[in-house]
Amino acid sequence: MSVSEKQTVEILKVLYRGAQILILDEPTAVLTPQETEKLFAILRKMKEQGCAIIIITHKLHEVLEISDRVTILRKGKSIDTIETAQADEKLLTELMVGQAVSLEIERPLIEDRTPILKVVDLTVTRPDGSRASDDISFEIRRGEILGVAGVAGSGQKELCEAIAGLMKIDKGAILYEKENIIGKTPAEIIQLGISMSFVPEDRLGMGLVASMGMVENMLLKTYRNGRGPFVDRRPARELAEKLVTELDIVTPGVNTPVRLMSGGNVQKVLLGREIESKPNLLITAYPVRGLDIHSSYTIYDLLNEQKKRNVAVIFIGEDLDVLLELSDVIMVLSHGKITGFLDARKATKEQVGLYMTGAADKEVGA
Amino acid sequence: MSQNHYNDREPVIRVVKRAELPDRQITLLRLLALILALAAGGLFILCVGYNPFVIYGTILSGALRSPMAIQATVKIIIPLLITSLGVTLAFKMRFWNIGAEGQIIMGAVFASYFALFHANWNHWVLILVMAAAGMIGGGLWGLLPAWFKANYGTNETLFTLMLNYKALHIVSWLQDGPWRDPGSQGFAKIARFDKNASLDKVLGVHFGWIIALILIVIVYVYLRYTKQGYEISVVGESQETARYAGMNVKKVLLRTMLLSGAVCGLCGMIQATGSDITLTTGVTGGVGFTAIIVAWLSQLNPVTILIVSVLFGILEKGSSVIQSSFGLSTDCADVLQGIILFFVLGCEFFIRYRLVARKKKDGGKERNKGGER
Amino acid sequence: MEFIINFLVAAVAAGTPLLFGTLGEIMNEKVGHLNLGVEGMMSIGACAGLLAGYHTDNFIIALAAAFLAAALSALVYALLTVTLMANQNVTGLTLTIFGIGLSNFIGIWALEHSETGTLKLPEMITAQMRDIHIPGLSDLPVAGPLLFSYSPFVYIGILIAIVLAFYLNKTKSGLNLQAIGHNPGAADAAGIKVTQYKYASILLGGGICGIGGAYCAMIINGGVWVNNNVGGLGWIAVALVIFANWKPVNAIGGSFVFGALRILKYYVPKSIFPLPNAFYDMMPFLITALILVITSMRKKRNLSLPAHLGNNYFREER
Repeated sequence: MSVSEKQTVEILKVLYRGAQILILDEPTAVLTPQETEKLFAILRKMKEQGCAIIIITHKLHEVLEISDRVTILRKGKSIDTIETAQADEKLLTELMVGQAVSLEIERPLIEDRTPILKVVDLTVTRPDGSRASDDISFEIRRGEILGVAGVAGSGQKELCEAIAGLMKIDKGAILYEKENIIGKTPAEIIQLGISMSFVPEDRLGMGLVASMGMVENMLLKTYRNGRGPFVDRRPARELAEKLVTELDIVTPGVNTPVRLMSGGNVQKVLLGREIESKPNLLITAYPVRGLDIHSSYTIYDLLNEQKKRNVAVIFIGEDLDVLLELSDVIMVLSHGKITGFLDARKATKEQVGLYMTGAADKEVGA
Repeated sequence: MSQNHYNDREPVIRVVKRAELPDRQITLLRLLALILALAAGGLFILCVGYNPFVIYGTILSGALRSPMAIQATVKIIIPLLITSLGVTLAFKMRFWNIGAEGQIIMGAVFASYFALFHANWNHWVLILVMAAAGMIGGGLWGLLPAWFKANYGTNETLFTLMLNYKALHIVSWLQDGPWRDPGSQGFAKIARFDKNASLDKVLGVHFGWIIALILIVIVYVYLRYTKQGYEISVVGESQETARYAGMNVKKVLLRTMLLSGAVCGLCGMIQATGSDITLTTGVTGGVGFTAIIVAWLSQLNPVTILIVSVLFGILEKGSSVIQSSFGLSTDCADVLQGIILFFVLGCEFFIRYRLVARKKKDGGKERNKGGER
Repeated sequence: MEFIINFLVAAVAAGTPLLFGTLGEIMNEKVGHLNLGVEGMMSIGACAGLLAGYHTDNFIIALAAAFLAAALSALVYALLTVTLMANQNVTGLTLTIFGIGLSNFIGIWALEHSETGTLKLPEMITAQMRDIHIPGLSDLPVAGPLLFSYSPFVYIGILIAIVLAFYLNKTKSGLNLQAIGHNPGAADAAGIKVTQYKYASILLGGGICGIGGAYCAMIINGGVWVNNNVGGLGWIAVALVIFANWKPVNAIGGSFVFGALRILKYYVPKSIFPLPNAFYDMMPFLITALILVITSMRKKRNLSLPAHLGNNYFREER
């Protein structure tokens, strides 16, 4: 069953039990824009039949489209409840952040772009036997942000892990500066300058150790440095302190467990560390998930800065608006296959959505 | 849904995660738990008809009243301390090594082989060989569940538990058959070791106590300052993260369990050659299980382990004194240890979580019970 | 032939305490709590059962006392792991150490405060729990001794197993309970009262373990006080849960098989199989470890294993 089908079952299940109130928590994360439309149609019908629906989402346009009233939460407090008819994106953002913010994402154009990583016919199987990547081929250049679109679970995670050497590869090649890196250990791949800051469903699940402080987390990839059996914590401490000042990280101290820090600060710690390792290729997945808008823009700025330094960036995102504004090229995944490459400067959201379902070719053909 | 109805359904007390408490407050809370535990234990003693102050006093004085008593107490502390350090290595990695009992036994078995059959070797060579054999025996016994866990994800809690009994029955087989002392009539037991194969005494106690103290430092430094120690804590926290950082999780798992088992095995060697001077099925004295309590109470901190081991050692030695003076069973120590851990386990909750009482809205219903602060 | 029947009858008798322990632990694990305190809860049940029997001379009261005392000790476990979210392994282990210690302590204390200096169950209760004898049925050849010749404990155990199986698989409440062990978050969202179910199930499981303990004290040890009277059976019960694949009905067969393993050494002729006793003693643990390894080697997920086993549930941490 596909994720969207599972979700339909889930909704049917509560309706069958005779629910009068339906609470949906980020229901569209796993849906294409087209599927989202279908869901919204169902919700509207339920509303007509007298159901009350609460929908939790971070996508402002969805709020404006579906809701009658909107409650804005900030740091666990209810800020305001307003009629949707009187709201717009700008107002909602201001209420969420508490101050006015610009919603423009910068997109510098780097002229000289040399290829750095080439993936050829990559096929990866998940432990449960399903195909996570099916004959994937693409190329990424320095000074370029490659956006990866697709509903959640289309093989993004496995693609990242395959490049980082964490997954067994069935078939294909990954050429990093013309050298095949398949078969190398994750440690060797890190040495090459490939950096992955993967933010899975649980932000602290991979990339950071939740119960450790910043210093210990800085060590994660560099603890092997230096000879002898002992860990040298001095450089890590210096790096942690440097990040705190440079990125305005708010934390009681560099030894405070990162799980006690806010989402935005955790993200800065993670990305900051990866950037400090001076990578040539930076893979980042859902880096702004769960962050407030202000922090999100800080992250976009950080990524752009890397791009300007001639780093190749793979950006796996879920918000199509952001993908379209930030990336140079958008690669669309559907069920582990690449369904299309789009020029992010020209493509529209509907086009991307069509590719996300994997139906684009058929529709074009028809 | 009316507003009132909603209020009725809101729980009186709600649990929320709290931000980190300052260290001093945590220590204070744990001390409070300890005092409450002793009070609860006192209540229990009162119920059986004795004055808790007298009993506690006797425990303390009984364990420390004379150099002899202190020596006996130290002898109880040694295995507890070493085994706690051993399981700490595994627990730090969140590997539930419940198999310390078995690892101790296997260490004792391996060491006993040399004590029984090569007792004529040079004393120090023999001691060193026995120590190495003990570590190998315990290490291999610890490696086994780790290997299955690493390759097939076999549940280590239950597997190590099963291994305890296998080790135990290996000893009972040895004393029944191959290693049975021909000099013992009817009663199956293994012969007493030659003096050459037993540990020397320093200050009246076999020198296992020196090994234990050295081990504290080694384990502390190993966990705290070495690369391997860092790997253990990352693997314990999240295997995904460890893989991401390029660590070989399997290797860390196997290596750490080998070490954890080896430390427990060393304890077995020390018990057999230092304390019992023979090999019996009772070589562990249940220390493999008590050590888990000690390690947990000490938050896996080697220095705290020393303190808690001493406390438990006093409790156990003191209990044997109250047995002789009041006729109360030595099991008193187990009961008190249990109560202490129950209270400390319970107090952890208040360190990690906070209780929030329902806000006063409809007067009479408010019951602000149990909410601390 | 008679030899085989004797063996089977002895196997059932030896397996009965395991049956109670296993059923109790199944009820714990079904709600996701790996309770390593079985040995302790059984010890407490043993102590309470024996003392109650000694003082009241009534079998039913002795059973009730064993059940209640063990359930009370399970309450400590439930309070710590369900409400206070303490580590399950450590709490269970402590319960075992505490339970054995407490029951030994009280046993010895009672022994010394008894008038005769022994704690021997009186006549009447001994008669009440003696192996049943139904005229006609019990005298049947083969079927008589195999089916109608046991202590009431055996039938109580089998009855509990069947009732639990029916409850778990055929009632809505039983399915709810299993849902908690698999996914407490989803169960909570579906409106199942997770905490109540957990408490009820853990307490019930503890009580059942307690009856098994009473069997150890009142039957196996002949109705006199012996220290450590459960003697490690609780640990075998924890292992048996895996062998029984978390199914109460399987627990019946599993317990009797393990009971047979425990007494095998007395029945196998040494002249034909010159294996040491220790080998037979080791068998239950060897077999369980093998099952553990084999089940984990199979790639397929075991659907009977409660997926959330060993993890505490905190509603706000989903």
